[in-house]
Amino acid sequence: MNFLAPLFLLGALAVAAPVVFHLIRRTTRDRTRFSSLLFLQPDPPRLTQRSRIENWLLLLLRAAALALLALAFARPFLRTETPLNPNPGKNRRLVILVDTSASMQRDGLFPAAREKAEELLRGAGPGDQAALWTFDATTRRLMDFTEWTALPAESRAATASGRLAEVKPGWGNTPLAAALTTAAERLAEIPPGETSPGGGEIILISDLQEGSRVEGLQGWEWPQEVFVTSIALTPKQTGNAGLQLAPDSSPLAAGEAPQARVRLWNAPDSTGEQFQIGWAATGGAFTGPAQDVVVPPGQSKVVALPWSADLQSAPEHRPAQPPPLNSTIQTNSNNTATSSPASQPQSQQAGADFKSALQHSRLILLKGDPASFDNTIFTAPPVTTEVAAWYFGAESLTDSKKPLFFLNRALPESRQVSVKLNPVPPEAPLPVILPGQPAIFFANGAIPPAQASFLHQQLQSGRTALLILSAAAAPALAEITGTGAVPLEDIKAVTYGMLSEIDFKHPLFVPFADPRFSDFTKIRFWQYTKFAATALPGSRVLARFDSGDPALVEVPVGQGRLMVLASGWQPEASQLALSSKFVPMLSSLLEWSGAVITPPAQFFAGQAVALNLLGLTGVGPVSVRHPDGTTTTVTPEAGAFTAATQPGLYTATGGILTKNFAVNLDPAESRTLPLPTDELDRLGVPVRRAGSRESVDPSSGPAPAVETESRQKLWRWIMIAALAVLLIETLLAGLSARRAPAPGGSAV
Amino acid sequence: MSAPPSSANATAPPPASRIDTAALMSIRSLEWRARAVVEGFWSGLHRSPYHGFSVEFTEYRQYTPGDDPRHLDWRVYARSDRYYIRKFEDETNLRCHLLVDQSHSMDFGTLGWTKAAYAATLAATLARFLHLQGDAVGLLSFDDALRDYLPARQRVGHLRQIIIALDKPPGGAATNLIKPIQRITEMVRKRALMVVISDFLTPLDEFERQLVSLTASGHETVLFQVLDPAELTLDFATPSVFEDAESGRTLYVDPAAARAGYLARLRAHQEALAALCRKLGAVLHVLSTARPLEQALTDFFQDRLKRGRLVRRGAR
Repeated sequence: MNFLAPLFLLGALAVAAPVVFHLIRRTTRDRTRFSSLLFLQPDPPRLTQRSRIENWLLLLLRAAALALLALAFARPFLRTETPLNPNPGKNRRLVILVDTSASMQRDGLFPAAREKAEELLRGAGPGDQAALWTFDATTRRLMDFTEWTALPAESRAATASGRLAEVKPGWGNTPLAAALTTAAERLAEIPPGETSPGGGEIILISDLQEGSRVEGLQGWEWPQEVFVTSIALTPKQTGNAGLQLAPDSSPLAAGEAPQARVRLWNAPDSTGEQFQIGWAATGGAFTGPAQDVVVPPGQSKVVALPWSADLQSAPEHRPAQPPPLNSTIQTNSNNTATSSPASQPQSQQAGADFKSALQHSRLILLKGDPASFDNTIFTAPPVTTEVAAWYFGAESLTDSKKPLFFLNRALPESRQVSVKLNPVPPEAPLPVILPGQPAIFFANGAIPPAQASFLHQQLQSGRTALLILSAAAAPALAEITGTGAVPLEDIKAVTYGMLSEIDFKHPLFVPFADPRFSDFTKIRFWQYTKFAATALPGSRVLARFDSGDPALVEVPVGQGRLMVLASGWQPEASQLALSSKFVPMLSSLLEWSGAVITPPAQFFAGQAVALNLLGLTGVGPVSVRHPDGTTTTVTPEAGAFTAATQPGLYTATGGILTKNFAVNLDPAESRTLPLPTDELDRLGVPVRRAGSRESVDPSSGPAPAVETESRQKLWRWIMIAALAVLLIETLLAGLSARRAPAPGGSAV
Repeated sequence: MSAPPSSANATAPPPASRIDTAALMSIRSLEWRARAVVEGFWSGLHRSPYHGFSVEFTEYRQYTPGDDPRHLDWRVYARSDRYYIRKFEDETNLRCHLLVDQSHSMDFGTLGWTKAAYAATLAATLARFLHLQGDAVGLLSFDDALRDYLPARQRVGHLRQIIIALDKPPGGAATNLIKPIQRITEMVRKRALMVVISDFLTPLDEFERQLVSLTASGHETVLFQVLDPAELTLDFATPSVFEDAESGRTLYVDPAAARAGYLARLRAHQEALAALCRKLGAVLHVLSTARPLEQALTDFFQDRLKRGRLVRRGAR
């Protein structure tokens, strides 16, 4: 018999309560105050007739009633064997799903899993169909049904086992939901030559750790006739401690040394609590003084490790020496290209130096944890990205009546980003901007045609510019946008103008969408330039004045865009620069334009690394150097680097840009506690757990516990029995009360 | 002229109580309790068959010309329209000392009032009665030590002081009868009436020696032993832990099993106390707190009537 809520069985302990109370009553606690004990002698308590249980039957009936109530609340049910194969004449279909996630690297887990799988494969009959899959971050089909059936029956198991022997646990996480649903869908497919779904059994061989991702099973409709048998593997040694990079969002104080913050987590079933943590070389030895950390089981602690000065020397903008992109490239089907180290002797040397510079000191090592698979973590050195903002206009940085003065003060400066403003007077030479270099442009009114033409080119390549409009800027506007002349008219407001019809869905205004921040009515405009937005093809009006004239318009130009602002932000024209909205708007503009990118602190093994997250768009093919020295080339069309399967520091180079990024183990993989036994049941998976293959009966499968219980509803019968017992008890108690003599009053 | 009321029916039994004890003890004021008992006693006295219930009261005598009109009993005159003279003897010589036990053992009662309250009412009643007769009354209250001492006086306000002293709650850790008797013997040189009110639930060895010294000093000694009915019968229903009211000592007692032994030991103690009193010429009155005070007072004076003459003669 099984129970859906076994904790309610504890209620049966209440059976002992009447007996205990009865026994407690034996030793009286009544106290009588008496004038003098002169004539009293000690009289030890004796077991009198009253303190004995007089009516055993009543006691037993009451105890039975309590026990039955507890049993009913525990929702018992009987496991009924549901036939896996409704038609016994059919052969079995099995998908053997072997976990190859990082947590399977623990002591002896994967060899045990392999052994189980081989045993299952050998046990498959000649008419059976079996598939052997492995899964970590991705699901790999080592052998599918079609190949299985195509092979001679006697060599099937050996072939599949041979392929499994080449597999080792990787560094990916455990997307259990994805693997199970993929396998279930495969089993639910209609087999060739048949008209109904085949059904079958998934045999899951895994450590079923707590960090497995099972959320995807929530709400997923499990197909009929597909059942799961789970073989949970347990390591010889329990407990684990893991590392995780902790983000540091606080601004860097003046004089503060940058630090790498690492969260050390100790599993509740760990036995140790003393650890050492510090910077290390790849060899496994600390390169500096290590910190002693005490983390009791079940708790975590954040440890700050200061970056030393030599570690901070970031190779962000240095010329891309190591990766000569014109080397031999082999493009694979994934639209990425891999270059072998052997084919690049020149780059190999440079790569080795580079690797040495990076790897030897950018690894954080944990000692004291026996499960070593998650004891290292890589971190890229802190980098401040420099962004160039070019301002076209005949203004001085110190002229407080001009927009440049305010722009210079409003551009953001943070730990990750430093925006440098470069004024470009009309007579100055045009700036040289390299492909991929982060840049944004501002222009005030009438600018020389050369500059307007330059801006047009930059916008064509995907950059963003903001033009402050005036009537004299009509030629510049036409040149930049590449359209015909747009009539412009300077308007001086009678009183003042306000912004209205703001498009809060546009990325520029999304931060202001909250009603707390959406009030722009306090920003008054004294003068603006009137123009017809319709004259600019493809333009989108982001905000209008209350007169209905466009205030801010986005005009697409090639791959880039031009933002046309109909009024200046200096106090002479408006209150925009002095309002609290100005700096957030500029930040939004910088982020939206792609000039400022804050890449994540780390990526996880198996995860696709999008090039735009690294700020490597528009720079052509990107070469990514793996920790082991191999190189993969990612084409712009692919958009993401998908070969980050191994933890370590990767270096991506595109154009003149070089970006380092760390790839680490998914922290969920460090949560090695066993998954709660009923978790899969709760998610509606028809699962049956087995400690070993011998206890697994392939011809039968269990139905989900909740469904079985709700179908059987044993609790109703138990409740009826409890009521019957209580009825009998009441009758008996009434009878015995009548028989008992009336209690006589005792004089005191 | 008819005979005085007290001279009629000399052999009639003691009158039934006119005051319900529970009602009496429910009166909070000790002074009013004493007043009620004395008034009841007086009214009963005049219908009483006994002659001379007062400590020193002798008789009523019909007035004859030449008698001092100050001694006329105007109350009797008001009722009977006849002149009677109240005759007293030794009006100013009687000094009564009340020795009242106020220890914690007296703070016990199962009837709704404690032995201490009963004893205090008894003492206050005696004091009031004697005071009204013009006798000097003193008080010595005690527990394990002496508490209050008021010399025997007969002055206005003295009764009030006695009642205030009697109204104090019980205290002390034990009953010590030795010290107060020793002390009163030392202090009172003149012969007097010593009334000791206690439960006498204490070993009698040392007490005997002190009682000898008291009676040897010529004091007339009367002992009132106040006991609760539960102490006399140990009538408790369930076994429980008995706690000594004075020492706090605890003892598990099953009353059903312990009753026989308790009663035997209590009886032995009572007999020893009675024998001691007989030997020393002291008078012992055992009073259950259930007994009406008025009757207790009647017993007391009845007993005095029997013995009073001898005592008076001995005193002279």
